[in-house]
Amino acid sequence: MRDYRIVYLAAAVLLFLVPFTGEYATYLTGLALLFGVAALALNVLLGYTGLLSFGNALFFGCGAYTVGLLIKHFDITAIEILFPASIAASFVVAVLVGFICVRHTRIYFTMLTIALASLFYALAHKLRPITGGDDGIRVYETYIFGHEITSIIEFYYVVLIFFIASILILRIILKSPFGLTLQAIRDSELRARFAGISIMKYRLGAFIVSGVFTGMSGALYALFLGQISPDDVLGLTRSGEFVAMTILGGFTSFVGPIVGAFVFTYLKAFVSSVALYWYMVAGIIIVGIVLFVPMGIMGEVERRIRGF
Amino acid sequence: MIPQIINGLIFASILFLVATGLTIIFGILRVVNFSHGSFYLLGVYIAYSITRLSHDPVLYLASPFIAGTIVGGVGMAFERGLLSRVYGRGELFELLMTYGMIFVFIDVFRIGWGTMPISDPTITFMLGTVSIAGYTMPLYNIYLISIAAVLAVVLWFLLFKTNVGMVIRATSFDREVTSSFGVNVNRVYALTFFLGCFLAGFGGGLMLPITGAWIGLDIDMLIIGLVVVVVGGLGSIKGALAASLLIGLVRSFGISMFPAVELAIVYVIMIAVLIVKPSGLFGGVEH
Repeated sequence: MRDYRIVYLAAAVLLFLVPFTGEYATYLTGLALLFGVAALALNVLLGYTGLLSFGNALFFGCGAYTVGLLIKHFDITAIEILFPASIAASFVVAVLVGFICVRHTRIYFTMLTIALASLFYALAHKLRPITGGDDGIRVYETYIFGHEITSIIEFYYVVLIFFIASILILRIILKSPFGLTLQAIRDSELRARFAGISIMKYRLGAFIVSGVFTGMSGALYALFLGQISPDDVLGLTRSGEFVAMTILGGFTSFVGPIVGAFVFTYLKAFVSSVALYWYMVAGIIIVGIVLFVPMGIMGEVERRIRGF
Repeated sequence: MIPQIINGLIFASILFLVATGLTIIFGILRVVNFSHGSFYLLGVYIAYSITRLSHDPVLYLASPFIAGTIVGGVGMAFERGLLSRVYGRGELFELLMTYGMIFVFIDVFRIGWGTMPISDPTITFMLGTVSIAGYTMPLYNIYLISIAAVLAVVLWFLLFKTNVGMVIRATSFDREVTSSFGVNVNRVYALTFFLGCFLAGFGGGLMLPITGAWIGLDIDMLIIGLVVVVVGGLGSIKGALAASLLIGLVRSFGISMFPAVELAIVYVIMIAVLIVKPSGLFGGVEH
């Protein structure tokens, strides 16, 4: 085994330096970092528990709308209140939704996540007096410990710290007995059950971890972008993007979803700027990955490194 | 009451066509076709193009059938050319491929038919109106509900009274054994995909005069179709029929009584059904 710590360190230094290359690059990288955490959180379910969620935008939107609604209706602008509040909200939603979803597996689980995310989408869409409907909510003039965040570059460092902390925490969770048990259940539910493991409890646990981390990235997304709308944060395509990023990067690898989020975000920005048909390109990429690189970029890289 | 019931039945008819396609494809191929809403939308657009050719009422009435057949062909080509290459790699990849097609279709629609919503109610004016219990409504609405009902009967006959139907049902029951009896299972898959996509495209064609098409309807239709299939029980046509009626009527009454939460009611029904009976109303499929 080679030591990859140097690679991670170099990546961290590069990420730290991104703001010096301009505002647009900072904005894109900030998005990639937030989507990276969301894709990683999705992979807690997909890669480690074997459950495909096509509704994780539900948590992303839950975090984002907690921030938006608190600002809009209660004039709370302190991030040190907004952020924990969205953690609490995503936790509660994850417990309730998880309770319904984890009793099912495979396609049934997937369809339920879609339907439940659609419920929240419909509510955000239709309850116009509360949520602003289609127009969404503007998020601005936010403070962190009394200091007003005025530039995207300042907030980028908040996002970067969140990103690094999330990776470390998720890494610890997935290496813990809890994470290993999830993988055991994924590989053979029957054997895990014979070993006396409460399958539902662990699946619900994975669901909550996934939901809370997605919710946190959604909350920071709202603060980072300054604007949220149901289609942007709660739509099926948002959930689908998390899945596409995870598969693109490789769901069998821990860092795969992050790589996928970066490639996807930059590619989307690039293609949208040179051609009209990003959707077509995205569709072809998804179909192409499924056909030719089903294990994703990191799956392929790891296979080459191992030399077979 | 009568207008809500008729509107509910129109919606139920379309839901039935879309959801039955989804459920048949799932029953045979074990794939949930995420691009099903896109096939529906393709049906509306093709019917629109067909009816540009001439303002003949016969052409208008025939357009859903032609559109359905073309959409079925496109679906079959997709199944043979792309989807069949990933069979056996697990449902994640099958799902993702049908999901990716949603985006390919979005740009096909934008290139082919532009970004503005389209609709053409000409045929409803040509057919005139009828009065039921004092309410005047387009005759086309009654025609739409009747033709969907006829199609439901034809489908039942095809699946339960013909040899082709027997082979399809046998394949859904046990692929290997059916194959060992000399049935070309690949042909059954292609036929099933044709049938499922035909139903979606046909439903789309029928709705051209009423709602028309806009980009975004593909995903709306997919989601509501999935809800119907989940409530009815995955793989069950009887379930799709019952759930379409339930959700069509609930939504129609919901729109007139609680417009703000009309869609939310549908999802709440779904959650309630799943908590009481996780496999759906008519689902016996093992989870």
